[in-house]
Amino acid sequence: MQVFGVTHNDAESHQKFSAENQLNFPLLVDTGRNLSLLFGATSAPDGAIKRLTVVIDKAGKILDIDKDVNASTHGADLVNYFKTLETSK
Amino acid sequence: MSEIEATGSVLFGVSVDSVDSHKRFREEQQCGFSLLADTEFTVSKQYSGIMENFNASKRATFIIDKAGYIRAIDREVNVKTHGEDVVALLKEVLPKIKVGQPAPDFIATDGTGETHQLSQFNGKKNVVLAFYPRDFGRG
Repeated sequence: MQVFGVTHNDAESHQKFSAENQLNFPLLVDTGRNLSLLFGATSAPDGAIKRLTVVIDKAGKILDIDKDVNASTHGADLVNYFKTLETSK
Repeated sequence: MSEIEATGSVLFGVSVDSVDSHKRFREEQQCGFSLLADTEFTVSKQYSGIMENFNASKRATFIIDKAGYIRAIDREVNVKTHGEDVVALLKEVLPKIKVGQPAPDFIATDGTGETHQLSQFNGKKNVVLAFYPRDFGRG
């Protein structure tokens, strides 16, 4: 699977954040909030981005939308999610 | 809230008329949306095209999604039913973010400047988009 993080922060901030946390996946720059708006991850009118995870399958279909993301177990939650998916096939 | 606003959209009228003309026209028609003064023909040339014999914008409607993708182009505008036609078109073409629906395509740049397009992963990988409030700090 390919993971992307998305926030409204700029490239410089993303680079620092990636380096500091040794992230091995790309962080997308959404300064214009286009992506967040498109996927319903922002609350108008203040434009703040909410924690939201969207899972898209290989066919390009939305498989899951998770609004109750637990920031501390998020990575493990995702891995488990895909494992369950594989075994249920 | 208008029916168009209810779909999360904003409507702009575009013509090559001046700001003054737009102002008068809006007042006269009690127009509830903005009219853009495309006096240099910039927007019209790029989108609708120009009617050479009238030196004016051609009638056309473009629907652009929140990611910046054009979702629909209507060049056969019916002036009488245009309002309701636009609402119907918006409801039809705007991406629905729902489980089971196709995810809308997008292009975005990451922190290193590399470009990623969602459709590049079609048939190859599952994609997870993790939206979060900010890089550093609370939340």
